Amino acid sequence: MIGILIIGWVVISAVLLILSGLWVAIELVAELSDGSEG
Amino acid sequence: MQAFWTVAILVAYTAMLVFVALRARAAREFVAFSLARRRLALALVFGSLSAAYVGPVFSVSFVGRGFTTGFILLAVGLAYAVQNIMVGLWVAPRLRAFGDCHTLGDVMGHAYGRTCQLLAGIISVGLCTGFSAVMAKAGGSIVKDVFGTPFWVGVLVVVTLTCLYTTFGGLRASVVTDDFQFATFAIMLPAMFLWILAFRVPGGSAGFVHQVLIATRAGWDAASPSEVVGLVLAFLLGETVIPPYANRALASKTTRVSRNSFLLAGVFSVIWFTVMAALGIAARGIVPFGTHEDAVLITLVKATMSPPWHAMLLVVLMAIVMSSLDSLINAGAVCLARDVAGTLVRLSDGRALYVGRVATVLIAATAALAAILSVEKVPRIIDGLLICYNLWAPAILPALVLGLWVKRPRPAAGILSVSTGAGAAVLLEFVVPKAVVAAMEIPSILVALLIALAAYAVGHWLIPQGGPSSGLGTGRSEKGAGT
Repeated sequence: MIGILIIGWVVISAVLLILSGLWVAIELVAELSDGSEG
Repeated sequence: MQAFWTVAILVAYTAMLVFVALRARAAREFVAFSLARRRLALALVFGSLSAAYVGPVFSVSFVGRGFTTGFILLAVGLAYAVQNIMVGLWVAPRLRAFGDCHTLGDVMGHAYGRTCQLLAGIISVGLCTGFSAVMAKAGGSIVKDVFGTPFWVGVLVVVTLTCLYTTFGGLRASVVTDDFQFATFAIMLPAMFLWILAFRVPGGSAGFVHQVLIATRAGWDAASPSEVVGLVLAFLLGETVIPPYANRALASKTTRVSRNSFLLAGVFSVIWFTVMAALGIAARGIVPFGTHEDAVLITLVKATMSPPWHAMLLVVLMAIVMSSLDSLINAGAVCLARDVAGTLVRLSDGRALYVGRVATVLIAATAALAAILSVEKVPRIIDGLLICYNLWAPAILPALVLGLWVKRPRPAAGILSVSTGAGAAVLLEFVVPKAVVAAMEIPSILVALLIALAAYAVGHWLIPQGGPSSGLGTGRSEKGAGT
């Protein structure tokens, strides 16, 4: 049981990190495509 | 073939970084240089904030700690998360509510007057330069390890590239390149971990869980309570609202963006530390025991992945270092232009922008020099960081936080707290023998903080005032703020 919890926790954490990286990347592309200074 | 992949991936990454920096465009006014016109959206502030605090210690060193002590270091990670969440709830929105402040020194100036702003500015510039030297040292070490170049060459390459885009683009260039770098390492490192967990860990998932239990138990047995308390305190207080973070709070589009970006960054730190520790634990059984902690990540990737991934790891490490370095150089330059030069002489907007750019180059050059000269004196990256933490928290935090919340902050309280806190921290760090500090059995950061708080109390209650100061906590300065 504790093994499933540990594996679930680290895998979900890794997936969340990847999703946060993708979210920032998408927002960054939108920001830079906008063409304005900010 | 390995050299080809390394060069090709590095060139491609540098070209993309330059493209992103150029898209940010040159800052033409000081408010663009210092605060990116206060128009940064949530994802940009969150990514940049997280990229700024994830440096070599929070990545390479934490993987090494995970290798030897399992998930014990999550206690430190949780302290860092708590700090970010507290700042998000109680400090960042109040900072952003000041529509006319560019720096923490500005905020201190509102509360306690120009003398205190000057003091805060000098401390901020010194701290940013110190932190930058630590990052430059880490960058130089990475380049040296990969290419075998002399250490000073690596330092110059990393600092020059970072300085170029920060000088012309100011905070906006710093933020967008941070976000690019954040996306790079926030995707690549967890992806590497998942791949290693799925295909390379001896014994698969069951083997990994077994190593978690063994390593964490060993870490628990080896940890001394005073060491853990000292580290938790340092990570809880040492980086609280340091200038680059304060600049991001001030540059947010609204107070809500300011608050939420710190809250998200706090949550991010917990899952980031989890994955870094998990990478270290996954290395057990693959990396030989006795490997230096700072070499565990590189050894793990070399042992489990093909050469193109070695080059990708180099890119990830450079992204981690440069995203912290550019934030620190820009924040230091803005503090020098606004809180030091701007307090001593009246500067037009164009002049302030010019001073900010010159200050960027000066701070970068000083940091590079300090990194090269101190390479033997401060061998571990984390030692350099801890020195900066121990100085920042006592010098600035009591006066800043109380200035935001006390109804009528008094100039004498702010000046006394900043000068006494800074003096006590310097004495404890550099003058008092280490044996004496250790004999106190209380972390030196806590001692200096208590001294700063006592000095604040003396200034607030015991020194007669000429008249009420302009309060910060009363909301009088909140016009022009976002919502």
